[in-house]
Amino acid sequence: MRLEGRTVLITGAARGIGRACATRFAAEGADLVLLDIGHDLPGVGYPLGSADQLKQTGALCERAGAAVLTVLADVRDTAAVGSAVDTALERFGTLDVLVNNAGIAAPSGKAVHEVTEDEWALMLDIDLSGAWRMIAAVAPEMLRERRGSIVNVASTAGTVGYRHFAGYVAAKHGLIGLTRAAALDYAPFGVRVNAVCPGSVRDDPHLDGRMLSEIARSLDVPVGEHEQIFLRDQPMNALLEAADVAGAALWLAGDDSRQVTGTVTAVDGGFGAR
Amino acid sequence: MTVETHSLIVRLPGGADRLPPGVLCWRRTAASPESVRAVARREAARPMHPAAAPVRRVLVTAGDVADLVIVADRNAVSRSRLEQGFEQDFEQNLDVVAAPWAATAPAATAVSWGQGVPGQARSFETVPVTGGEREFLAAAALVLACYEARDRVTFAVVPGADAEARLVTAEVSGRTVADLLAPPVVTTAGEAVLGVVVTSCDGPDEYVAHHRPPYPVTAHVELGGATIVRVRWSFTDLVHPATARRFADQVSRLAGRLGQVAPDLDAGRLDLLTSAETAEVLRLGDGGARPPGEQVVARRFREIAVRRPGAVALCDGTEQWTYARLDRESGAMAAGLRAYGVGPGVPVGICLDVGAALVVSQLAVLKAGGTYVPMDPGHPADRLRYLADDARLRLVIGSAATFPDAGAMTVVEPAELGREPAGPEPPAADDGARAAYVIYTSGSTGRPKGVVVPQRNVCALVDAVRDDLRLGPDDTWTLFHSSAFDFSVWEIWGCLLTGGRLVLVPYWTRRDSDEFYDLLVRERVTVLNQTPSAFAQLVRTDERRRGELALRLVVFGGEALNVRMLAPWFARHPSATCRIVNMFGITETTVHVTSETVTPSAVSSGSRSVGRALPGWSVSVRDAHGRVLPPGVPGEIVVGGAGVATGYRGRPGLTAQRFVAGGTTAGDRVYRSGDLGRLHPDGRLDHLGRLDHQVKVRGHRIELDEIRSVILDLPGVREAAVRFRAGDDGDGRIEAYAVLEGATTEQVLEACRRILPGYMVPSSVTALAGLPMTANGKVDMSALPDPAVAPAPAASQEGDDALAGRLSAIWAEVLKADVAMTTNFFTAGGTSLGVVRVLARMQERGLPKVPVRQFYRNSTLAQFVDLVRTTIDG
Repeated sequence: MRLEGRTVLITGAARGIGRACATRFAAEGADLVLLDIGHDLPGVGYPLGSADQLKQTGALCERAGAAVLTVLADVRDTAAVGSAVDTALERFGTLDVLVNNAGIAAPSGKAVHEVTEDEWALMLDIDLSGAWRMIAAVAPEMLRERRGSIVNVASTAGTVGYRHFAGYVAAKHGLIGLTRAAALDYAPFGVRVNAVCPGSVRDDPHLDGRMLSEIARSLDVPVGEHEQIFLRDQPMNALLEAADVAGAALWLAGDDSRQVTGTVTAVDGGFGAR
Repeated sequence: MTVETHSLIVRLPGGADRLPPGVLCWRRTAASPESVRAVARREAARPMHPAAAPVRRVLVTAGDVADLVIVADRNAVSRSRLEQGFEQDFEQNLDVVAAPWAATAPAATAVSWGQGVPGQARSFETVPVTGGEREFLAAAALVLACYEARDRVTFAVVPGADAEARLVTAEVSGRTVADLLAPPVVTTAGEAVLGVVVTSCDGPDEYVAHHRPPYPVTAHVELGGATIVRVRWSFTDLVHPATARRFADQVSRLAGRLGQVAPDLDAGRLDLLTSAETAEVLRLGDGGARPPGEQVVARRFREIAVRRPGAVALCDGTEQWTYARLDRESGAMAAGLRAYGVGPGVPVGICLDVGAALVVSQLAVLKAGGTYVPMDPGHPADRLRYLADDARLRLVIGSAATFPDAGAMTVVEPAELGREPAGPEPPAADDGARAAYVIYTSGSTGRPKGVVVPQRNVCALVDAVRDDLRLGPDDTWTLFHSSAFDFSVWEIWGCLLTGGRLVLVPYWTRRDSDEFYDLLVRERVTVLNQTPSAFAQLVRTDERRRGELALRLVVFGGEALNVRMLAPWFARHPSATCRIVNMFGITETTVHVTSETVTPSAVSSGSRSVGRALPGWSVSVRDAHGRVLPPGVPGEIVVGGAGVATGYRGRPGLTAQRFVAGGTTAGDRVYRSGDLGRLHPDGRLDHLGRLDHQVKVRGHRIELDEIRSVILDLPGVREAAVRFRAGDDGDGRIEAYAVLEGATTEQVLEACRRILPGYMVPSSVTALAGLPMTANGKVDMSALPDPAVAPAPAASQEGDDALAGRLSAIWAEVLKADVAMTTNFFTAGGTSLGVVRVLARMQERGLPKVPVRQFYRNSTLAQFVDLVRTTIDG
């Protein structure tokens, strides 16, 4: 059990990669603080993680033996984020790992000059500033303990550009920059910060995943055929599973990577090798 | 900052319904009713955040089984208050208390025997102990006394969860088991390394008194009635995990035994380690099998001479000796020795300074089957006479003109032997057990004793390190040390038996670090052996000179190394280019015993490790009864294996006392070194000094009693005491005190100079009306006054110029005493090392370089000032 006795906070834990990480970490002995927004947002054209989905993730983790605390909070809300962290510390006394997984893929599908002020602000507020708020709330606790691991779930969009995804690409590039800067700030205190960059992850119905189809919708790729189309860019001729990302996050979270900080780990089936 | 917590797990008989409404708690479901308690324990052990509420409740349920876990800040909620943890108004009525151990638990004490690994704390339970609280406390006292190497120990007992901790002391020496089982004596405030927390556990509720151990070693003893149900041990990372386990097992085992043995049994006779544990500790200190190899020195030398006859073996000034020539000339000399009756086992004195003749003579004696007895021509005549007499020498190779009246002994010049061309050389003796040499060391009886070392030991030494140190024909060594110091055995045979080139360092070059430095650069020396104090001078010279050294290996021996002095060396010479190896050794175990490569990180940590035993050698640390002690515990270093000498020449009693049975295999002898050390859990050894007051001065082991008995033997001396005072620069001074009846201190010093070698002559002799005594009638060394110093300088004699002032300041620094213009450097305690220091400081302060030889000839301050002035003017 690689995370025995550790407490892990995961944002965007209601479904998809967040749920995959939560259940994997629970199986490795971690106790979990699971956070998601629990309601939809105007301006994001698809349903966000719900309270029920978050509860479902919690139940799966408890079944694996974990102690679980679920918290509904919006990562744009500094006060809500702070109070979520306080509650977690009341319950568990410490926080060892933070997985910044919350993020949106839409509104997208426009050229740079067509993106509105509000769309741009919303995307950056969640995908980039949300991670910054979480780090700002959790890092003091990790520094106090002089240990901790922060895993930022970025994207291949953090290392290359995608057409008509300027906000998302800018936010994920920003997240990688944040990762490196934070790694340097915290390295003297034994706190590590790394990024993992998933490529095209299959929407797993068991995880209520829907990110890939939302990306397809933004690009006007017909949903249903989109998996075949995305496959063309995959040297390994397979879409990724959320569990593949969870495996990389687990390694970065645990002591096996204790000398690893400020790095970017691509989990993309060879996409970046081209 | 962490919150100290304690916890109580309460089984709710009626399930979760017993919990009064309105009590806030976290809820958690366990997988099954059977796993409820396990989950509850995990919740109880969870830390509490400093900013969180001082109480946390977690309700763990499965079916109709429910456990309420109450975790509270130890400094906010007492044990009895914790009982009411499920009351509704609990948080409003906290009783702020200090944890019971607050006064006795140290914040961060070092555990002298801990050898901990940062981050590796250990907690575990030991099997139920037979016996009760009294047996446990007695056992804990005994084991702690062993680890702390003391007869009297202090530790904390927390009797019951809310009771204040009491510090108790226990005397373990000379006590019976019944004495130990008596209630311990309560003492006044202090701090404890070990704390024993005793609580009762009745019924299904579970109380844990602490989740972070309050003491470096905490034993939480849970009593069920009068018997111990369980002991939870917590060791912080100040204690090595392996030591933690052993400590806990020893206490548990001993507690069980104390109830079974006769009450009048001497507690000191109880063994603390099982035979399996003893075997394990012995294995730790075992350097492994002796590598195979030829066991006769002369035959080994011959192999190399035959293989590479043209290679240079010796370099004596401008003269080079090939292996073939060394082989030929030593063969001729061996023939000459045989003509003098030298044969198997016959001792032959060699009284020569460092030079080719010295090496040829040693090899010739071995070729003739004899045993060489090195004698330093610089030692006083009395000492040389004593050695010749004690070793029953009939023949000495040396200078007949200078050797003291030989009596029935023949003194023959090396040149006179081997003038005849040798006939075909008879094969070298094939017995590796035959003595190669006898080297004299200080003796506790007041007279030096001869250590008899067989040939196979010398060969084993070379085999043990040859591969690790990569010794071979490309190496150039120096012969720096006097042949009377066994470091030279290593220099000569370590080099010649691996095919290297040995550069012989002349007397004056050894005393002038600049000249020696020039030699190292000029001869491209690769392997250098030094005592740390000599090397310290070389480091300073190197800093100043920045020459191109070819050194790839520096071996330290002869005295304890203070690794911190190496920092400037490593700054110029990375350990990848020049390896630094510290070796601990004893004449009685053939020069070296252990070896440790010193790295820059060891320098920053100030390590005292001398490393692991060499292959073929073994080390263990034992108590006064010869019992093996576990890692961490200080005791006498005992050495076994391939280096153990035959014994002391002509002293069967002393030999039997120091060379005893007790090796890892039956029949093996081990040598009790009298050195204090402790083993690490990985088998490395820390050297901690001498058990008695034998001391080392500039690499020479000196028994202070030997000096004392010389002084006491003088007419006009009634009592005497000699002490050694370590200096902060790694050097030290021998100070003598005497109660005189007619003699003067000057006469005493004069006599010491006549009888003792220079390094044993006291720096000062102070006359006292009587020696201070301790309560039990021994001389109280710590109560001796500071030594008498030269009288304060008269104003008229004080130098009237700045030069005299600067020079007298340097002398005063080096001599650590006031100096006057009449002060003689050597009479005032100055040594050859002191000379080098004075010259180094002069150079640092921009004063001219003065030849060492001139220093010896101008040894009063007035003469010295004149000398320096002449140098400046000239």
